Amino acid sequence: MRGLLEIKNLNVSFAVDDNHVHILNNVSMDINENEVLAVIGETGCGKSVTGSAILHLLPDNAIVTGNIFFKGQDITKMNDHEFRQLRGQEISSVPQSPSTSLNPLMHVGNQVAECVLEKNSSEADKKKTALKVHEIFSRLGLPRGEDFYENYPCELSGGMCQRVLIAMGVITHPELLIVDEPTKAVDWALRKDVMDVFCELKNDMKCAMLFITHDIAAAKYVADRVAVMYCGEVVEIGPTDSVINQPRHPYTKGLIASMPSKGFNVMNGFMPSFQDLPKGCRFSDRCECSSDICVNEEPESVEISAGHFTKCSIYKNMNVSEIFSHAITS
Amino acid sequence: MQLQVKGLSKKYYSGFLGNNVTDAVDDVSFDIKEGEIFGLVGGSGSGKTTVSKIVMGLIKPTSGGVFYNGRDLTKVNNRDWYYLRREIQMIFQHPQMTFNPRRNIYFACAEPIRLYKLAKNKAEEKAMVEHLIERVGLTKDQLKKYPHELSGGQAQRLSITRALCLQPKFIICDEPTSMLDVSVQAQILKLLKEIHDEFNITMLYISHDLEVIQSICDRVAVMETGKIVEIGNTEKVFNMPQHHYTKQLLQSALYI
Repeated sequence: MRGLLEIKNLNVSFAVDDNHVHILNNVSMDINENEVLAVIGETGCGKSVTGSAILHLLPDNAIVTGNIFFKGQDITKMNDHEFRQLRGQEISSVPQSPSTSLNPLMHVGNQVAECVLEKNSSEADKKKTALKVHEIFSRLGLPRGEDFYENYPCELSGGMCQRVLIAMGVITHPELLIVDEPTKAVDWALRKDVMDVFCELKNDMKCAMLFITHDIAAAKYVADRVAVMYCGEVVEIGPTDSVINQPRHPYTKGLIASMPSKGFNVMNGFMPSFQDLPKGCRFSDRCECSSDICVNEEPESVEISAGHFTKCSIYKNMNVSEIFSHAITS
Repeated sequence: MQLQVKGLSKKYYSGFLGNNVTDAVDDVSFDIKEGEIFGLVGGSGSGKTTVSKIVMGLIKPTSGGVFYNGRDLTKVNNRDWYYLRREIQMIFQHPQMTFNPRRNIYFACAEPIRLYKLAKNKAEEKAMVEHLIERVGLTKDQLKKYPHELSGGQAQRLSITRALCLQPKFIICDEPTSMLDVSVQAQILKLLKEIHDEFNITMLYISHDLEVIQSICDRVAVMETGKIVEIGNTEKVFNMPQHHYTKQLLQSALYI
């Protein structure tokens, strides 16, 4: 397995009224070819900012430092003109909220075709593209034929709009797809269908995905690895089974315990504001096992088991057997 | 029986001469006992919200009746609704949209108190608002803020405060947690449950999330395209589903 995308010490801050609000703090993660990495966390923890940073879609007041390597190339150093060759072709995205992301005055088929067509393309090209659009629609389980091609977004249900957006993302056969909250706007029964579409994409098209979501069950369903973000930091990253069944960071434990099926155990407090962060560990003021080290020192990433890293001071000076016994007792 | 819904139907007519008929709600009947949390589940477009709006008196039904303590709510005039709304309150799906963006939070909480003249003077009004806002887990200094400065979870707590101001006996919750994160959802549900136990409030809880329904409701009704297809005790419906739609819903669950 080869590395496709590697994010190293990514820092993003925004210049707001002479102040710098530091959003992402040393975010590091990597995605291999044909692998799905789910990024989970609460609203406002920096998941979508990470996605936008990869796509060069951050607003003008953002200050980005650190490196993002895509197939060995550092894409943070590229200018907009160079990056346009990659965006849409090799790195593509599925935005959140299908109802607001589509153009209400354009046929859905044309909107998908627009991603591939160039400005002055010939009639033959257009016909070829239309066939391609039909093919991708039927592949995503949408009705085939002219009728569907000429629908407007308002005539479609939420789940169908979501699939049209997915079609727009995958029509160019990208190598990396950044999916932002695909299950947010769809209801319970459709959620499974949408997730099945992503599983098929992963198996058929061999496309790697950065799957941004707050839906832990959906992440578990599709992802190979999971990264948990809190307050602009990756607090835990590792294989899906290992992170969700044996969470090690207190925040991940709390998040999973607050699922309805795990009995609604409520975590203390709220996520702090980015302008007023605790000095040491950013979770220290909500953590049950917080100690002096947590309040004063920023924790380092510790490898708990193969490929499973967590950023917590509890595990700092433990060896393997101690970590194992700690996991059993807690 | 605190609330009885009998043969409720709502038809929408569209097209030339109103030839196209859409049955948003079709012959729905259920009843809710006092102090119970009753769940209403279904996919989007199954008519859950329409039922709740008819119960609130925001939409007139085509036929059927809603009886609250024996009184037909569909025939109540606006003047009597003024008194009934003290007893029946609603928590909406999008909390941010239910507040006036130009007035601060104190005003949003004090408005129902002023409307029903519950406080004798300003000081009493302030004490009432502060007591409630602390009950739902917000702090006093947040009263000066404006709605856009709150997070989704805080805004939802605030709409719970506003519903509680009038000491209602019946609350309709229309997907109160569908826009929130799991951790915040757990906080809000715990709060609703506490309020239910503390004030003995009857609740109609509408959601598409079966896990949430399963964990808080006593009885549940499953809706599909405007009809109730299954109704019964939560445990029974979830463990031994009879109707194929309920089975289908349960099968589409993703487990962790």
